[in-house]
Amino acid sequence: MSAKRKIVLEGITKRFPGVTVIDNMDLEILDRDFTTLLGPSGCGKTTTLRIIAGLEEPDAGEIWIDDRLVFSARRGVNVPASERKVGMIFQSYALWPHMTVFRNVAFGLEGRMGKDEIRKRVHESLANVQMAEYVERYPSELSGGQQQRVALARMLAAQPEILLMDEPLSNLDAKLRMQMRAELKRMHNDLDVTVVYVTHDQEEALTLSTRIAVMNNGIIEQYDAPNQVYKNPATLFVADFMGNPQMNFLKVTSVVKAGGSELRFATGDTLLVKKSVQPGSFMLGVRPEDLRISPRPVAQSLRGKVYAVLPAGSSVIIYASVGDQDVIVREERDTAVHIDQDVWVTFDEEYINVYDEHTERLVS
Amino acid sequence: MGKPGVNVESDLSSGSFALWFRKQGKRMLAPHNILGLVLLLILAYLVLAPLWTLLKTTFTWQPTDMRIRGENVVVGEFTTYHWRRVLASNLSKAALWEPLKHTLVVAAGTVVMVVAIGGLLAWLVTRTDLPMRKFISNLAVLPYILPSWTIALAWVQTFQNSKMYMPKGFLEYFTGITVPEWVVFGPFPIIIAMGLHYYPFAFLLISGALSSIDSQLEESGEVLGARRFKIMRRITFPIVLPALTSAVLLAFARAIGTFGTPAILGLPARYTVVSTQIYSFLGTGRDSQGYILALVLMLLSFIGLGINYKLTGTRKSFTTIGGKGTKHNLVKLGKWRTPITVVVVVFLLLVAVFPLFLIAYSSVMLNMGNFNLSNFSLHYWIGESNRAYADGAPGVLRHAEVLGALKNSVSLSVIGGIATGLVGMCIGYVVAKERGRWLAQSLEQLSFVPMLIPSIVFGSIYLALFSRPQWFMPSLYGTFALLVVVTVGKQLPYTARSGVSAMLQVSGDLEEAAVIQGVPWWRRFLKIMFPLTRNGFVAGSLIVLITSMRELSLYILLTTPANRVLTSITYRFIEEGNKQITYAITTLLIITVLVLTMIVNRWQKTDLASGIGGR
Repeated sequence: MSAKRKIVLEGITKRFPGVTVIDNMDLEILDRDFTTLLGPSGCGKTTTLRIIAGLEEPDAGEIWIDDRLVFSARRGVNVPASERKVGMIFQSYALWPHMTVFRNVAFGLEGRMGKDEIRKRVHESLANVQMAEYVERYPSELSGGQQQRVALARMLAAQPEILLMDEPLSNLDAKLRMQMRAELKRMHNDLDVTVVYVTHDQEEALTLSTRIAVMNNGIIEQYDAPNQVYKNPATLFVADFMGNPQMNFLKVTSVVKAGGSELRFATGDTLLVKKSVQPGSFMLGVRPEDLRISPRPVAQSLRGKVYAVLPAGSSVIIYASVGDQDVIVREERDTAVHIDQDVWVTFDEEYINVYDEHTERLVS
Repeated sequence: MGKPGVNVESDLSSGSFALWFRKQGKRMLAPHNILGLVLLLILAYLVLAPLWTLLKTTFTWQPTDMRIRGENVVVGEFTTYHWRRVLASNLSKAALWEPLKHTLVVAAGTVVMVVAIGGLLAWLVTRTDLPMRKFISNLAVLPYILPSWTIALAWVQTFQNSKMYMPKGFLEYFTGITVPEWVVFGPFPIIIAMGLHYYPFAFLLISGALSSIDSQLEESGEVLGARRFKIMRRITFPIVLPALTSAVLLAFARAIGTFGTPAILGLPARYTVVSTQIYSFLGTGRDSQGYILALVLMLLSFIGLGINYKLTGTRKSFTTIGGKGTKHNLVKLGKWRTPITVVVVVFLLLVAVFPLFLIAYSSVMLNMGNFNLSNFSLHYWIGESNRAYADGAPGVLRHAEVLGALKNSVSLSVIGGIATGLVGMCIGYVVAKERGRWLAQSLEQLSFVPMLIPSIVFGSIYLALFSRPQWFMPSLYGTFALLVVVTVGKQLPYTARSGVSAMLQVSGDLEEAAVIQGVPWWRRFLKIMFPLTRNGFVAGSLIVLITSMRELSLYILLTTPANRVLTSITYRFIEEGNKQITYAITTLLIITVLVLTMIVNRWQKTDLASGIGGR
């Protein structure tokens, strides 16, 4: 039985003068999920987050939170942000520079509960993020990581059920970012909360999320578990966006053969696969780590020549010229190949994604 | 992935006018929009309503018109009499065409002086190896900080002479030289006095533009082999042009609307300009005709704005070029360095320091025309009333009316400054939040309008609107409140600008972080937005404060014995011919203004150039 739905977006459309930022978007976010909106800048992910928060009003569509209608363009419903049980962390942290850490956390609670209760909550949430001893500091007297923690504490002090985070780690250095990822994950585990997270960093999305929505030009290209998004990208866009180094794309034509299909490359090499592919033109998408390189001719392979070898610590990245394009291969072990050597690139059928050349969608 | 049940088509088709209207209506109910609408109403009341009243008055019979013979006067009825009288009658020449010609002559001369002096000084300070540049720039803006008629008063005191049946001036007393009357009164001294008062506009704006040009723009010209003069003409000049035309427009708008200087230097020679003519019409109960002249002045400044817009409109992007403030290769003045420095310093001492000194010194001369120390007296400062001097008026520090006016001036400046600053911040808040929408645009544009209305006209508009009860408003004529209202209306362009730029500097996130937590909007404004923009508020308020302290043209028509300010009482004494009392009050005023300015400068580095609002 699947978990209950926490946030539901239906037919959400948002236009700014001259552009449609979000185009008829549907999205269901499950309770206690860590859902990441991932995509290049300008894809509409931050706008989506702000729409969920109630900071931005869509032009069309409806939003439910806990099965309560919080927004409907048609019915003229728009529940204010403060009643949506959401907390938000901004990319800039948005700490109020003229208030101490204590006041920053306390400000939003004032008027809603007694002084003692506020004091207790502020100290609790600051202690949670190991910032208890900084209560009297001003934001400018804190490091980036500390400011980040205060922003977290401020959000958590209001005890929201939904945490919205807009690229919260993008201003931190690489080391701190790793550490904060671990803390965010721990926090998600410890608290009974649903997280909606926005990032353009695919690695961050893959490591943190339970579900990823890959966005492009205001639509969701794929909404799936991280490993699915990585292994079986639903569209050429997702395939290209996910992965570093990027996925290889090879043009093939398919012919139906006994026991499967034969894929013919531009170079004339062919590959016989068991899955049945309709006759026609396709794009083959294969991740560099799913290719192998052989110094000797083997069946079911592409012939090429080593263009460059890039050792990268735990693995080696090999660029091989095949016909008029480069194929990137990532070998985990040391491979004794050198530049200009003739090589044969082999495939594992299980890791081949076939895309329709025109619709750019995954066929099999 | 497809989600059933949602039909966007129906959403869009039902998204007809009613839906749009409902959405707009809801949007408008957001607190900052309500605030915006309230501000819009206030602005309409402060700017548009007075304009309408002014226009209406020119087309209706007024109670004071009852004395006119040969016309069927029905008070309150429509008539074109006033327009006919001003534009086409035997009075037209003296009432309109002569003053208009004089205004144009004086304004044109002033603009030429402003650009020549300001431009030259700006170039010397920013682009040459002139020594003491910091000192020179500080001295150069001093004339603008002083009340506008300071130089006029000092001019008369320097050049008046016994040949004109006047007391000896400074020049005659010490050298025996007597100058002809046209040097003392008339267009020539008016142009000089106004040029010397307003050239800091051009100096600040042009030096700002010159120092913000990326020197690479000029260097690349140089690398390409262009000669220095060609670089000046083809690269530097076009880039500085917007600043130059802004300075011209500002100086022109101020020059046509200024009252004090042409009154002091023009009226004794029966040389009237439009502003003094307006004053004379309103002083003799011919309000409608005065208002027609006010409309003429406004038309002039709109024409000026139109020309400015035509010249710079397409070139506005230049002003944003650079900003790196890179070091320029300074022009070496060589053997001319010392002579030029001496000339500049002597000039500045003459126009900025000498008038101050002369006026202060003249206030302690018991009898006019005798500069000898034996004539020294503090009578005009602390003396008891004595029939023999100043029509029996006591020294200014004992003079109840003067002290009352000083108190009024100080409270007006403080209250007006704070009020204008607050309204400016509120406008800034709405504009920053609604950037690009009609509400923001109309607020921004409407708040800029008073900049184009000459001060004397602005005063007369408010006289027209508030001199009798209107709608729910009682008559404000002769009240302190009226002075505050006119200050807010006229000075709003400055604080609205500083308000908008201060609010735009605060990231929207900071307010949204509080929105998410359900903090009500007035708390967000008071506790977050306002504290973060406090510096902009203080800067805007202080500029209004200083400006109001020395403003005469704006208040001259609105003050009565009940609400006198220091500047208007000064003019009363000028009219009565009590020179030394005038000098003493002006000294008092200058000291107050200088002290205020020093406090302001100490408080924070307020850029006077941004205050002038040329950029």
